Amino acid sequence: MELPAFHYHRPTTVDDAADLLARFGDDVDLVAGGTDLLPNYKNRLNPRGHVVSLSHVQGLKELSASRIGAGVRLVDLERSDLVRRALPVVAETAQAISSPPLREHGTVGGNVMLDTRCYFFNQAPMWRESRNFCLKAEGQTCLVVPNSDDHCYATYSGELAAAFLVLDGSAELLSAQGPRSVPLTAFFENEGIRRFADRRPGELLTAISLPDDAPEWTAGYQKLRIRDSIDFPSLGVAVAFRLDGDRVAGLRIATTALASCPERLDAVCAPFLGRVADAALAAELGEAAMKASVAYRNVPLDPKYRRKMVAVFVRRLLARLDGRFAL
Amino acid sequence: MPAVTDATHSPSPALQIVTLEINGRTWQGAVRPHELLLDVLRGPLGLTGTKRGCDMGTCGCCAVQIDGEPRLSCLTLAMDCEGRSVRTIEGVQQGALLSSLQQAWSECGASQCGFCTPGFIMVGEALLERNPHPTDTEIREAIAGNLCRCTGYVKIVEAFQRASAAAATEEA
Amino acid sequence: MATYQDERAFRELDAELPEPTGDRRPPEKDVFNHIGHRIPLIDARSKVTGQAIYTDYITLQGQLICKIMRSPWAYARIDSIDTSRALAMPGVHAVMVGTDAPIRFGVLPISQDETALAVEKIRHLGEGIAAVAADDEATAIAALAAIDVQVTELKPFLKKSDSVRDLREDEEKIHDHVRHDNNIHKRVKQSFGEPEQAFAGADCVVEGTFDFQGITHGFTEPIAAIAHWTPDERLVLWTSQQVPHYTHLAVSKVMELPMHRVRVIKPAVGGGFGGKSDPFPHEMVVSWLSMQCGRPVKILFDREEVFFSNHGRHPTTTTCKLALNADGSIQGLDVDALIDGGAFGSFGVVTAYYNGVLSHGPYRLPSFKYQGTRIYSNRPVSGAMRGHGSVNTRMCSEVLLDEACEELGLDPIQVRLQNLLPEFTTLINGFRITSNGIRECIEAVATKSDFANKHRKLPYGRGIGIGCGFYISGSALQIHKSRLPQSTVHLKVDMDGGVTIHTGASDIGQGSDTMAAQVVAEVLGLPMARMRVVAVDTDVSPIDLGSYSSRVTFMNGLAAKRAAEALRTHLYEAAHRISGYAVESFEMRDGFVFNRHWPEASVPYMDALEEALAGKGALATSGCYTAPPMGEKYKGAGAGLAPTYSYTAYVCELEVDPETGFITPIKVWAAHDCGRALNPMAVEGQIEGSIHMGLGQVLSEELDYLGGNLINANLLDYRIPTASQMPELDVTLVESIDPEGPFGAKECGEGGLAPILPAVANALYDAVGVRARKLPLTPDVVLTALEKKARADRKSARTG
Repeated sequence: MELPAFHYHRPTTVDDAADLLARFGDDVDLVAGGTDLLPNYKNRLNPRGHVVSLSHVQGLKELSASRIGAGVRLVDLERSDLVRRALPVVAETAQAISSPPLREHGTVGGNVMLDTRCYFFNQAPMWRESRNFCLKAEGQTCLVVPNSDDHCYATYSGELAAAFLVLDGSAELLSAQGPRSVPLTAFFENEGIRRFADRRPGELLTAISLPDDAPEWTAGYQKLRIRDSIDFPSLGVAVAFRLDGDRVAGLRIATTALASCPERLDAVCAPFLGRVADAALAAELGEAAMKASVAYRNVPLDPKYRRKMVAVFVRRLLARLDGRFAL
Repeated sequence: MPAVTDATHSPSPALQIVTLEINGRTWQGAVRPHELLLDVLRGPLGLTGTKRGCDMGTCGCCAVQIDGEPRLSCLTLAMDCEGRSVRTIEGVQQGALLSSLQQAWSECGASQCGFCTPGFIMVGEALLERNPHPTDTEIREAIAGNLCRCTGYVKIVEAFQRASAAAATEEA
Repeated sequence: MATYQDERAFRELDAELPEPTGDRRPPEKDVFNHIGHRIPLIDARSKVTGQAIYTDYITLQGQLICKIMRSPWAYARIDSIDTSRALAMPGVHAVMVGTDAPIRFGVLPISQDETALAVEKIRHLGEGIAAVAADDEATAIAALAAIDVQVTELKPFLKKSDSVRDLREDEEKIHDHVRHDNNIHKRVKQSFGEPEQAFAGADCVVEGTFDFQGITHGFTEPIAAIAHWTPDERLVLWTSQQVPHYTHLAVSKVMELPMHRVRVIKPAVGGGFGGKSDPFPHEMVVSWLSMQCGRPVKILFDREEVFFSNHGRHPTTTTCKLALNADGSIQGLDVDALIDGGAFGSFGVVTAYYNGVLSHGPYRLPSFKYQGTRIYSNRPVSGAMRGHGSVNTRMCSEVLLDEACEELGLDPIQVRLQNLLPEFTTLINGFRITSNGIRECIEAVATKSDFANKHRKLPYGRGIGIGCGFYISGSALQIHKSRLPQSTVHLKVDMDGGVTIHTGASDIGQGSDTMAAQVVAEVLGLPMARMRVVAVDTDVSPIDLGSYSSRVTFMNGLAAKRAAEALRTHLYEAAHRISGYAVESFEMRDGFVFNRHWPEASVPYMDALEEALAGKGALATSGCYTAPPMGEKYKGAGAGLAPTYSYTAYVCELEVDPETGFITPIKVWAAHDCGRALNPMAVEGQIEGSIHMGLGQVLSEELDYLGGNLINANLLDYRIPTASQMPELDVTLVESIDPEGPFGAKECGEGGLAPILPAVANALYDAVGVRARKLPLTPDVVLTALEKKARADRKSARTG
């Protein structure tokens, strides 16, 4: 089906793109790889009057161990020697996203900023009409959790954010007012429509910055999906840790595809710091992470099952990354 | 009943000119700003070898190459192709001569209904360009974004192996 | 094939005779020039270059674009439709509603219950209510939004149990023609042998209720059609179809045009699998709109519309009982299938029979009891899909057979072998069994997979399982009672020497055009390059009933063979006139009308052709196939009757992750008895594709409904397996050489689907000890079963 009509803008600099965002306020969307926005537009999901394409913008493709440009494509991450060596969890996560052709399209910015998804939202207009629409598009109430008091429970399905969260990354933002940096832990909001706690109007993501110690963390990502290609995650778990001798000196877990944003489970991890890295820790940590997780029935696979897999994935990731967690 | 209409949006924006290279030739045309590359290929360009399958980037039937890399034309705005080089299935054969992948494809029985074939070939040509002798696993991973409902992929993988072997013979 | 030595012997004998006479033909040869060769499909090059012409490729001068307004209601009475605003829009040429073409149609004469667009009532979400023809898609979409439909919603029937019970006061049955006060479309009851006694007296009875979700075909080419009401007042319809003949009949009926004023053309079809084997509402819609506008009208479905059109495998709840004696001999099978047909009839009456009758092979059943209930519901219509009617019941009976073997401590391969039907026998329900290669199939997969050394011997988490199957090779009974043949092929040869094969068989990618060309080339001893196939244009092609019930190779192949044999006679006669040798002394070989007694008296094909054409012009011959009378006379005896049957055995080895429930198939060994593989490459392709499709049903595919809403009407959430998920496949073709099939061939397109389901399910049990009762076996389903088993094991450990 055709896309709904819109005005198209093709800036060549990041500043011009930011100016366009400022100019059109609420009536504008950004498009980079197109893998998220265009199918949503075909379904008439909140289309805007103006679309700013980043296809010809230079300066978003920086790639180093401390800074990953929003315009870097997923396939570039997956194939980059630097990323594979210094930030293997990022390469591993990128490689798990969707399918090869979509990774040619998809960008870091697009994946981090991915719109939330839901069975009641990602549907054709007629389908949504049959349910009187949902809160996220044209409707009055959330159909996942009715009487939700204007809270949308759509699920965030971006994956790189989980990897960046366990590396303690920050969102580098730019608006007509200038650049600013927001830690990813403070960037997102667990609400399917607003999605961001700290993103100002007209801001675009230019890069993810990572602290200098990011390569020192041992980190990995595991994805739950029925097919090992194409499918969005029904769960994604990233873990990162540092050991001091045989004791846990640093520990981070991030989950995605459970809530309306990626979540870092710092409170879950805190009690485990200083403990000896062993299988018992991995199992306990997995259980604790599971208990801290909530899932809703609006993406593939049973929510109870998806929660259970949090425990299994945390445990398995640790064991895979360091044999001591398997002992 | 409430109706979702496209009429709620601003009046139809004017046509815009896009210049791109298509199968080695420059093409300039007026397109609607929201028009997809797929529709421009199948419409004004008359290149119907590129197929519309799922219309959302999951089946791979509409794959083309842009600047040598596999892309899905159903997820690409025509306007984004300004100054780019687009190659479609029609640009794969050299005159009447099939590419070695096309040749192998037809000999191995890798097409049944054939609707997914052009998309597979466009992804496949890019794979062989990057990796002339892929392993079975590399082939399967590279085509894991293309759906074929007929073959179970067995003869498709065979076609890659045959094309790769043919290239090896040529190299030797 | 006679050797050169034989020919010399003939020549010496013949030397005494002025002209060879009598029947000295060598036995039917089994060495062929084309048959049995791995020949690329004749349209392969057009497909790899993107030049094959599919329906959406066709663009006619002045064509309009059609869009259909689809119902957001599952069940509703239409109060009013106001199209005036849409009609007034610039660029809109016509608007159609249900009452514009209210004549009912359907693929079966007994189930004519569909209309072009909803009339009076809407019966499922996604059903067409109105349609527009406009200058372009955007205008058509805008026009649909301007149509005002007022309805009164009715209480929808969305659970199978609600459709079988009597109506309640606030309910209205979906179709008035249903006989009773419920929504039962068709109920079949059959009993053969002495099932009650068999079950009472058997040493072991196993039973289970299995839950199957709806499955859809998932062809990659969205449904498309273009209709053109031509200036000479004829309707031409290009349509992506498996059964153009039935479309021809239905369009003629609904448009009230005599058949000769309707022409149906089938372009290249991007996959069918049963999903394009009904006459369709959209075909009526574009026809009517074109007749209104006097211009061509084209429709291309969006993917979700393809899902709403569906006609896929019926969601089914099947309770199955199997009785065995301690020696492993099967005593009886009892099947009760509750089949959700969705909103319309389609092939459903056949489905209601097939869920039972296709269980009669490949094992001898001394007794059999069946109840099949096909219901209407307010969901998109179910219909025929690859392996029609056989797949779900086969899963049940093969899993139960595995369970019985386990209970009796018997080997599942041995038990299968000891119960097999022999060749050339008759079944208790009257089926006529001819060629049968099931024993070779089972032996091949058991040996190749090393089943005996793996079964129950692999480490926990790894397992191996077997499943077998049996399928019709064409339905002997015609859908429409008719004295016409089921398939006809015309051949035409003119002075250029090319052979034009006019066939009505629908090549949907399975390669039926290539099959016809191979058969004709073989009979005529000519190279494939001389063959050209003109298929499915009802103005020029003879009638073939279509690509369904796995009938094409057998029936159209025989028609092609007979047409070629008739043509060959003309060439023999010409060679006789040229050489003076008896007609009987010739055979077609290597471009010659070859004299097998006197090779030097052979006549080059082109010379014989010139003689044959002299004074009468192009040679035109015809061949046809009509199934011979067979079977019993009881009601429903014709269902499942086929001139022959195919047989299949699969072994699957897989891994199960007991913590996550993920099943990873490692390898499938497949053996299929296809009679003779006319083109082994194409036959393998059918088997490999069937395994892929069956793996989808058992592991990841389902039509997932929330009430009347299909949640996953797209190729993202309807999960067709990708290349990286496919196990290694090892395909063995077993050639039982059918006595009646063309060169001994029978079907290979459908029978190969069903056995993969139980092979996976039985391997799952071998790996981790849980039995499948619900498909698909997604990881959450498997994990739940594992947890349930762990609880039961703990409980029995405590009590034991």
